[in-house]
Amino acid sequence: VKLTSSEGTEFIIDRKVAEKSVLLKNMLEDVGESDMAIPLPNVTGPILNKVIDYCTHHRDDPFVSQEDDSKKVSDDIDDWDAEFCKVDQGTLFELILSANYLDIKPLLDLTCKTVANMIKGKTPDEIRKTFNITNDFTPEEEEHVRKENEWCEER
Amino acid sequence: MTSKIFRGDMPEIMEKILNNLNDEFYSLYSCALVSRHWCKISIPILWQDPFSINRDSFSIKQTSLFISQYISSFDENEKLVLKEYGIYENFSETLFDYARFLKVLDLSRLESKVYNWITKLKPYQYYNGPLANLITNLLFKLLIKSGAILHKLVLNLSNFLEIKPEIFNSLEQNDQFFSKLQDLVLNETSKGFRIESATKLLRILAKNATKISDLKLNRFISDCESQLFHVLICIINSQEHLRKFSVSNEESNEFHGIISSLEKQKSSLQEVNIENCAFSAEFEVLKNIKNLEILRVRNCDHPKLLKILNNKISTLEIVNLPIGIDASDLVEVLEKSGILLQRLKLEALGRKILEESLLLESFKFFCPNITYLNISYIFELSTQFLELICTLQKLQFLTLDYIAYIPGEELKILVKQFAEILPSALQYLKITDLIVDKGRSQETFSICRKF
Repeated sequence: VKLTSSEGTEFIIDRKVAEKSVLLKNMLEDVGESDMAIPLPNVTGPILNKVIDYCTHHRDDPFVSQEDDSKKVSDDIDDWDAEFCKVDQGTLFELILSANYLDIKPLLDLTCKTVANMIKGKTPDEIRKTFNITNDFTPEEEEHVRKENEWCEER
Repeated sequence: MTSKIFRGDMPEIMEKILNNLNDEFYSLYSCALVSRHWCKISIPILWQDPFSINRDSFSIKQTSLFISQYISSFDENEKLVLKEYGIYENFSETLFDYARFLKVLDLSRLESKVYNWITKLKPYQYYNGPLANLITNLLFKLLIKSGAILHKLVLNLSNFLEIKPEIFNSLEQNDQFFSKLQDLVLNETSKGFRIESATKLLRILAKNATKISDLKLNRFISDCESQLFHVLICIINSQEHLRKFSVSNEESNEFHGIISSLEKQKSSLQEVNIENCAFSAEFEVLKNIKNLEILRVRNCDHPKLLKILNNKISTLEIVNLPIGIDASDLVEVLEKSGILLQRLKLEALGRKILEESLLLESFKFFCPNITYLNISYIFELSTQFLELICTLQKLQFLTLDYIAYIPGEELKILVKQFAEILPSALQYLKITDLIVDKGRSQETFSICRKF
């Protein structure tokens, strides 16, 4: 299967690897056998390379359906996956967006868990600093949210 | 630059990220205070299951404070009734309609949080029963009417809440409340207080909840009225796709048709857990469950249950503390499951597994794909035993308890031999000598890690 990234770089991968993406799987089923490259305008070459790495490593894993959303645990990431996610924040977010666009649920779950782990245990200010977020609450609004949710403030 | 995920362009992805923190109250609380957008996404997750907030890092009274936010949504008449009981708090309007976000409800926890909340407000009043019951009922009604859609419900049937008639009316009128229920836990199905109320509620549930995938009957005791058994059978029958069924009881073998009714779910059931149950002919239904993959049998007559099985199992757990485990009872299921068996746990603390060598031979010949193995306990940690373990080349997790005392130096040699032949896929190893202290386990592990 041929894929073209947003800059026009071509990638050739096994059909089994491509089919980890529900989007590509459906496209391949609709189009049938073809030499035409599938354009992926939303995915850059370096990110597509990472996505292919992931799908190749997990090519034999059983399919996970959308319904299989058993209780989420953010610390059940295996060693290979944890190593795979050791990338800069920009790459991690690009991976999330690509996994979402290509519809690769296990990769989306993994990258979302990784970001969740970056949030875990942090104060609001630490979260803002980590992800460069501006606090747009008025002081009154912030106090109101704090007051209504003080039941889960650790003491 | 802030990622567009966090700017508000992709709320569904941000929700997916924060859903991973669904039991991390403090982290979600922090998220709610980051910015307006983060607040909008995290508050519904934070309020999915406020009743489960644990007590380790939070004071009991503090964790009941959220009750006040719910009470703010009471109508004026309901607030007036509270005043009649001496509650004059000012319940001002809240930023969100918190009740609508509820997804998990444990009625006993609701009652207990209400008690704690009252105790915080009226610390010198010792008997709060009627007030607690009133507030619990009003809250239950609020949650039903708020538009909340439950995913999990836990009911303790032996000491059931005294439910006011209007609750049943609300449940009838708001069928969305149970419409997406996936997980139902019924504790103490025994002859207890207000079993009629419980039965009435379950009857409504049987009508409105058809998406339950996980049903647990904990401490099922068969001394109830037949009405309750009937409604439990109705609940099982009305499900579209029950995947997991668990039952535990106090060794009675009377199930009043409840286990047999699983026949209706024979195509969807994938996991069955049976604990402390005496054998009953109703378990013959297991033979017909085509897609059964996971079976956990704890402290039951497992030889009889395993004989019934007609399936290839991928996860098998046998725990038998009082009687022990004889490997010859397992050979047939190991042979049937063959290459599909991936996870196996055998535990018979206080008794060694009989016919160990037969067990190991069975692994070797029938089940080479085991990835998780937990045996407690074997009699001897022999070289032959270790070699057999190492034929399981896909083994990733290994836990072994053994009992024979092996002197320090001899153990080191044995462990070194073991380390050299360990399957390369192994990620976790725990070997415990039950005679010697746990330090030995650590020592064994460290030696293996060096290799």
